Amino acid sequence: MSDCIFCKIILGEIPSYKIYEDDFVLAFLDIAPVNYGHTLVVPKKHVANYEEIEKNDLEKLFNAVKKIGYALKIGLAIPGYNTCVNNDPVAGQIIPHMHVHIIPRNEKDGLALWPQGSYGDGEASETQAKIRNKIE
Amino acid sequence: MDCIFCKIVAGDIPSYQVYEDDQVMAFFDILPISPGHTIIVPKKHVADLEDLSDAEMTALALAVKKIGKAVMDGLGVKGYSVFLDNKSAANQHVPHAHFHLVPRAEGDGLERWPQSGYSEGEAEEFLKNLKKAL
Repeated sequence: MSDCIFCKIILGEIPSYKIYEDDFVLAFLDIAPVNYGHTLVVPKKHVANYEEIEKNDLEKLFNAVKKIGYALKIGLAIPGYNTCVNNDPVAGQIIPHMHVHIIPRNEKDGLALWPQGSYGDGEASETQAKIRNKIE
Repeated sequence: MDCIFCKIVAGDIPSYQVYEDDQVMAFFDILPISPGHTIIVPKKHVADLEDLSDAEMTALALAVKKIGKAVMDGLGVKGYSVFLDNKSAANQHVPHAHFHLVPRAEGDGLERWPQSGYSEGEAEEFLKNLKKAL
């Protein structure tokens, strides 16, 4: 897509610090990193989100994440990392080209989990039924 | 194996299950970040993302997509966050690889982590070190 910043990076029209590339996937440094080495992994084909990505591209994308996670772990000697996808604008997705964040972590870097709550009586089974009914 | 997720997969501990196939099971996190917060696990005990076979990784990724669609359709949400915390330094509490799928809503107050930038030459240095180490 011509006005997509990630498509421009894939085409080399915008420079990036590349970490990994194959026929389907490109990975490069996020220039506004949460932590040093914060990497974005994108499918080369322009798709906005999970809803649009096809099976084969999804498979290639996450197997690349696995490979890059391993490389970051060994290469940076980090004790762990997070991977995350913010799917759609309501979830904080800013660039409408699907991407997986890999964020290297250090002990005590202060990055906390989101706060957790609990279900009231019957609420979990009701929510479960709504989701199960829509599994295809 | 003294693993809580293995016990859930085996049915020894009850769960609110939302999906199951040959390789994957998905059930509710009982301490949800938002209603419908789902945990997606490989049935086989694997601690780390890197230890998953390509076939297991693929099965998980496809299950996440399927469940995400059902969450959007069933709960009427307009998006969701998917994350996997790898190792305790990254807040992984149960050492059995798992994806979280968290339904999202406008104004839910869940913020992205703060971002910074690289100083001049720092990113180049990083890449050099990474390549050297590999």
